[in-house]
Amino acid sequence: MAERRLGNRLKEIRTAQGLTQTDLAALVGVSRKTINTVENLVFVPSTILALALAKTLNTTVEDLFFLIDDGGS
Amino acid sequence: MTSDDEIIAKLDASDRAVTRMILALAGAVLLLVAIYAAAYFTGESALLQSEGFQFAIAVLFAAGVVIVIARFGRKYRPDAYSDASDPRIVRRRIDAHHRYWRWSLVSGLVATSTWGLNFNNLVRFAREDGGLALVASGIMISIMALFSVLTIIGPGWFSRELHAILNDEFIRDLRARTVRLGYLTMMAAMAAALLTAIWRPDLALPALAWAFYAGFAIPALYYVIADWQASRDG
Repeated sequence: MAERRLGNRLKEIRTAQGLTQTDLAALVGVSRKTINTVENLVFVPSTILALALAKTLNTTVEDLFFLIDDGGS
Repeated sequence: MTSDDEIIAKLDASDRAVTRMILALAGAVLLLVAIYAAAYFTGESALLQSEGFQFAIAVLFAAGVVIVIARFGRKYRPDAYSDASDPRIVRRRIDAHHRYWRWSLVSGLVATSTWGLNFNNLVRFAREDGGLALVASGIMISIMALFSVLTIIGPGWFSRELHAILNDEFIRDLRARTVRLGYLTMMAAMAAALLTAIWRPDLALPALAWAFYAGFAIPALYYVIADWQASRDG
């Protein structure tokens, strides 16, 4: 089975809206570290946080997050 | 600027002033150590014992403290701290709180390491004075256990609301990983302590104290490094 990772367009959408990590963190109510580690694919956010990020950035979860297949059978 | 922004700006400025005061005083202490070391290694140690020299150093140090307080003290705003623990303000200063917590853990690590790495003395006590070894190991185990509990609980332990804010999603995940590492370290260290106790019963207490030290220090170090890495832009 293929290995799957969670990718995201968080940085792209955030910067397009002129928000810094600190701004977005304050809007969502988490630390900047949480935003930073999600953007850098270090941390997989919960469904609640994914929904909150999508709502704050006026987009959908599917636009924000996607699956990356790392190959395999 | 809203009143919340003003409070946050005051708190940030005040924190920066306190940090600079601490750094300036630490710098002064390091300078003193350097002066004493230089005098010692250049064979001028007699100078260190002269009353005049010690008086001059004391006056210089006191003048330094007064200058530092006069320079940075104006920016220190104790009035701003009355609102600092308001959840509304804490939510917006969450990164500053995480920074304090990281530095608190680093301070705890340094403090416990001065004791934890002084393993030889515990071994000597165990060999020479069983009562003293029991007291010293008991105190060390209690302190390490306290630090471990604080690391597990995390910041904002005194308030349910602050705890929920300060332990946001990433921090909860990091803490869970730290606790897992702490458990594994503790089990390995306890096994080593047990083997030591079988092999050398006289060293059972120091080994147990060291196991508690390892159970705090290794996961705390992991937390500090992972937290620092997470705060860096990728």
